[in-house]
Amino acid sequence: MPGLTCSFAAAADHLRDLGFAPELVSAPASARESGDALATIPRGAAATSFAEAVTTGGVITAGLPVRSRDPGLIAEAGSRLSAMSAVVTSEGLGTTLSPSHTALLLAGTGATVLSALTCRDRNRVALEGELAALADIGVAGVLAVTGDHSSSAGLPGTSRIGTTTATMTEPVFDLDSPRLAALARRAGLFVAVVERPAAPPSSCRPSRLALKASAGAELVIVDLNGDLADLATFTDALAATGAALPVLVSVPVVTTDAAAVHVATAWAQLVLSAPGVSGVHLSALVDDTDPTGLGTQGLGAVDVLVRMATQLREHLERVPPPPRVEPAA
Amino acid sequence: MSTPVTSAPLLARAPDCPKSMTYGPCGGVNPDDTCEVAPTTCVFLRRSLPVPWTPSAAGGGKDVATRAGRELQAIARRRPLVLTGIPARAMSSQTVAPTAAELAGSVDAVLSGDAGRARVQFPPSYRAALIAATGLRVWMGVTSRDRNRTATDAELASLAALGAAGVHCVTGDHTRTGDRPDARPVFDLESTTMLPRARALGLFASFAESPAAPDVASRGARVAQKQRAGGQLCFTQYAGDVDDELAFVARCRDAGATVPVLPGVPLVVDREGAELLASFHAAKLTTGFLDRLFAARDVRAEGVRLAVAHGSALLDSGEVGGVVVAGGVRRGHEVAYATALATVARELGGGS
Ligand code: SF4
Repeated sequence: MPGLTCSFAAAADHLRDLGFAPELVSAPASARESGDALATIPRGAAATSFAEAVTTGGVITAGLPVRSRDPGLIAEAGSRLSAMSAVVTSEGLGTTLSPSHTALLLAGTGATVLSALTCRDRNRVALEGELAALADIGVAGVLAVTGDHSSSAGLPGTSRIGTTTATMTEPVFDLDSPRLAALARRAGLFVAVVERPAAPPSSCRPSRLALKASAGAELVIVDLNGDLADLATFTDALAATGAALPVLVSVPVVTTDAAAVHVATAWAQLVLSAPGVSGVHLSALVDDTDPTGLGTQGLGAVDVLVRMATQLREHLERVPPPPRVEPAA
Repeated sequence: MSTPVTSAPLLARAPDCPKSMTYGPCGGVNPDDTCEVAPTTCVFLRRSLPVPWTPSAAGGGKDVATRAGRELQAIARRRPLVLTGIPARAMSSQTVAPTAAELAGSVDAVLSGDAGRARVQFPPSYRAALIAATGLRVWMGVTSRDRNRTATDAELASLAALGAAGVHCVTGDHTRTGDRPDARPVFDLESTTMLPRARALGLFASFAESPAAPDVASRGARVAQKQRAGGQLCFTQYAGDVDDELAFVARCRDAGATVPVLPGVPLVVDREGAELLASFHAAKLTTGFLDRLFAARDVRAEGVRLAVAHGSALLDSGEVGGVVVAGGVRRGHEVAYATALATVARELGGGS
């Protein structure tokens, strides 16, 4: 967040030593007796197959680029995006249906779903309930987002140009994303997290990721603001932590601009061939003021992402993804 | 479509209220005037009550837009409404369909509310989706304890999109009650500020009131304020005998509240259920209710008989808009309890 210092900045050394104890998300004694807590749930089929796809590499996910409360529109988007490795929802933009309802609609179309959950809007018992519902629905996993900044909360799905989300909502932050990741693993869900390596203090980001990995994260979607050299710096630093999470690089796309789509596709092809990268995450940048109807109110952005993914898959057939660097034993 | 964002209340939140409420007192005030979760006097009891609702800039006032909600409105025009709880186990989608099957045809809608013994629950919208899939009309409870307004708005939007019959907007018990005191209490909204947000989405909106909780004299006037905020039905916490409940309805009318009042009718079919019910915060049961149950040879038959008698007396008075039959259920006996609920609901005219 511009103008603010990461609270870990002054304590980067401490952070590097900090592990993560699963006990931090264990329920209190009162709940252990009454059972008023998220149960330990075995990993479901969708989570297992998405984990396999991540291991294989060449993953292409897409943020759900539809901001609408129309269930029919969400389901139609899900159906069109069902060939993606996964559809990743977004949270906290204030104009969405609930996470479980959105997941129910998307999963019903056969799409593989990663549901974004932020720590900003719910306390831990509500998050436990959300995770239980998502596991019950059979989504592949969650994107565990702390949600401390509106643009990072919006990253996986749509980012907004032209407006800001004015909200007077009370930030909750009962949990943070490592704890949410640990809880989601308890629910048997695959866990992805978000990282922005360009945000200060950039040197502590890989350590933060190692912390999230030890809590249970299995994949990181990187909001990279840079070139291939910056990406290599980041993946090298991550590999050096010994907890090398698979990396998806977020590719922002202004879906209403054909030239921009072309540039984004070319960039995504480069990224897919980069070492230490397991795939790309296509994220539509949506201009709320766009009069063409190709914005989030319709399915235009969905179709652009689907066409991009088709091209990228063709590219992967010609140029298979590099073997993933396994974390050091 | 833009988000129906209502402006922040102009009145201040009470700084010393553990739920940081603006429109207290909540229903959890103890009989000795102490706070639900603190040994001190409820801060609102030192004020002039009721706290008047401050109209917000936007939202509120839409007609009921869901089909199930309109159907209930049509029923309410010809006879009292008969709602029951749905005794599906928390966090279990498999127990929804068998309990719903027992209730189908006997109830006008099922109320799926907050449970003191289950702070961890499927989110309201998912529970509503599961229940609506059985064909029952669902009246969904939403508490302000666990979600801020952003998450609450998303739940409400989904309830509207799922066609819920209505939404029961409650402030909720504090997290320090129940088994999860480790959870952070949110209370960004409260019942009174959630109501206009629900109404702006075309949801039929109800609220709770605890007639027996201090300050008893101003509870009727508090109902009037919640009606001004957009509330359309008042579901009451168990408040004692039929006469006590009717006295409360009279206090509502004296204060200018015209919303239909639907008292809670307790149904218990075994000792465990009776003990659970007796432990509910702010619940005041009918005189001799537990004694009669415990003395009965057939607890189940006596429980059904007492509930039908209680419900009939309320409906016969002509003063109430209906009843909500619910109570404590023993784990593993959910379907049998649903059968008993259906029996009571049918006797009271539900589903007709
Ligand atoms: S009893 Fe309720 S309203 Fe009164 S101070 Fe306590 S929490 Fe607040």
